[in-house]
Amino acid sequence: MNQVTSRTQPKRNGKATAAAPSTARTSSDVNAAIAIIHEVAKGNLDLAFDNERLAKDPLMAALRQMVTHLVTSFGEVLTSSTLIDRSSATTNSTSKALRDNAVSMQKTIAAAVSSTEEMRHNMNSVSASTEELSANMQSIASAARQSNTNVDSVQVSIKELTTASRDIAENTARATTISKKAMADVTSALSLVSELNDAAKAIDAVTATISEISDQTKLLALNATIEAARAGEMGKGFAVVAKEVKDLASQTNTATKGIQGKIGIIHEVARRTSDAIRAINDVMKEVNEAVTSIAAAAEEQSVTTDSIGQNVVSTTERIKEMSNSVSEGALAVQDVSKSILDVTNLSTSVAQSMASLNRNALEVKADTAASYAQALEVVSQGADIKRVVARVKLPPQVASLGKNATLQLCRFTEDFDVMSTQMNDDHKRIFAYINTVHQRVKEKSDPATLLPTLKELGEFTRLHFQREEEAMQAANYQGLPQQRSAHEKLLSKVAQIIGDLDKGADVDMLEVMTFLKDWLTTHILVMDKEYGPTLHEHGIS
Amino acid sequence: MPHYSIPNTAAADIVTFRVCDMLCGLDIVDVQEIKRVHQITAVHRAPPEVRGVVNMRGRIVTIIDVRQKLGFTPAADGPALVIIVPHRDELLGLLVDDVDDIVRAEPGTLAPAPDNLKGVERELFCGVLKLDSALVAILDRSRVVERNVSPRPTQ
Repeated sequence: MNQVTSRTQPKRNGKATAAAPSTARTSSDVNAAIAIIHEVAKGNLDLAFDNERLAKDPLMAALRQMVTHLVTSFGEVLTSSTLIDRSSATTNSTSKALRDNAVSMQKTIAAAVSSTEEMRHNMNSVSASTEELSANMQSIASAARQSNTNVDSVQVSIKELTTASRDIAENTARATTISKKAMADVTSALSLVSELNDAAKAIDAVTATISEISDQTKLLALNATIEAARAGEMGKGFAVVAKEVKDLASQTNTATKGIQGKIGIIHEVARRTSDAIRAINDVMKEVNEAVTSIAAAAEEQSVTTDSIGQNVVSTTERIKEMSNSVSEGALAVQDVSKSILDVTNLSTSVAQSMASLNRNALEVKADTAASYAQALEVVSQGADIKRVVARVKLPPQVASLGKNATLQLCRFTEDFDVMSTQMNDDHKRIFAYINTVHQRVKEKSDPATLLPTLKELGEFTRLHFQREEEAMQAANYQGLPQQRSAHEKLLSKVAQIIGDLDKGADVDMLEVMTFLKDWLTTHILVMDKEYGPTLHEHGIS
Repeated sequence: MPHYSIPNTAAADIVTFRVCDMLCGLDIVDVQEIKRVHQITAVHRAPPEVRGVVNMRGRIVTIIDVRQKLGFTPAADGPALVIIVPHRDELLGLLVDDVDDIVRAEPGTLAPAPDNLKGVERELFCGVLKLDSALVAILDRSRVVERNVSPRPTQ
């Protein structure tokens, strides 16, 4: 019995206007009303109302109001459920993707954590090795310094040796001089002994002569005795003389023998002396040869020790260089060790960061899983709502409007009516700006492309606030100061956001959008609606 | 025959000389002088004990090697001590090794030659002189100078 047609009508102040004064309700009126109620009960809201009955019957009018309300409400619900459906589908796929990403990210992070742990372990062992190396280098450096000291003492010893060699050389030179002198002395001594021998020989000759003379004298004495004997008596005196002469000869003989004996001793002594001197001479010769060879050896040794000394000097230089290099090397290794320690500490903190990141990732995974689950819930709930709404038959245009609803962050509804056409239009335009930006943000546009739109929004909002303030001023609206301060706050915030974007700072656009929507909707719903009546009284539309 | 008897009753002077360590003696009466000769001129085909001759102040002296005469080995060549002994009209030189002294033989100190001297040697000596420390064999001058009296060579 769909004879009744109706149109939805915007409500004014939410009150239903009463129809004509009471007339008796006929049974057909009642039946018609019951029929309407039945239809509604069945879920059919696509109803037409008879204008006559509407004018006559307040019940019918009331029913029509109810139906209208229901249609509106269900229309909104249909719209909402359609939007929910769409956005929940998107949300579903998004949160599924998010969850998948979170899972894989967490896996990646877990792997990174274990790698970082490994790296940390490796760094620890490298650090330990480097410490060891540093210690070794230190000990090598100290050993090199020690060997340097040893080489220094070797050098000192070599210098002493060289000095000793020179001393030996000098001493042997002196010894050679002395032995040469000694040999000269020996030679002169030998010549003296030779002279002695010659003298002895000369004395020998003389004694021989004396001996001869003595013999001759003896013979003479004997002959004299013989002659004296021949002369008999006359020869007795002569015999005495002869005897004296014979005695003289005999004495001479004895003396001469004595001298010869002494000479013999002298000869013997001279011979022995000569032998001794010769022996000394031979010894001196040997000593001289020995000294000469010692001198030669000492000279050689001196030369050798000189060259050793020079070698030692150059070796010392090299050892000093090596010692320096090793010291530098030890320092360098120490630096390396420090750096490695820093890196180790760094890797520890990295590991810690990774661990906390892993925990975060796990949380995110859990959160995304939960959100995914919730999204699924939302989807299923959206489906439930859809099913509920589907049970209700709505007038075709309402139904199509509902089904074709597009997602808008801000929707201008009756609630936002501030009793001024201009202001409402302004508000609608502001909402449109916000929705455009929001859409672009959803499309993941580059924030730079939002900038012009945002700037327009900012400029238009400033203009609108100006209009509002002028109107409020004209109407003597009491709440103007509060409005002014609120407007200033919002405009400065928007300017800041625009400034951040201009600088290329990382701005969370979603957060910005949500903030703008919340601020504007609250401001309009609370503060702007208040000035509605005042402006309307003053005839500002 | 000696001028003195044995034993002698009067003192005599004996010229003592050595021949090969044998102490011999001659009466001083028999001796003219003692001379050292340097050059003995050898005489060809003379008896062995005749060493030669020398010229002494113009007179010829025949040198006899007493060593050989007594049977000792001949004296060496060169300057030698000679006792000049006159014999008959000529001078003989007795070649000896050394002349010691002229000693006085007191009476009774001369004794006859001992019997244990054999052969020719005995004939040459006519007595011995007893000295404090030694025995002097007195030679018989005439026997010594006699020719053709050569002992057999002894060792």
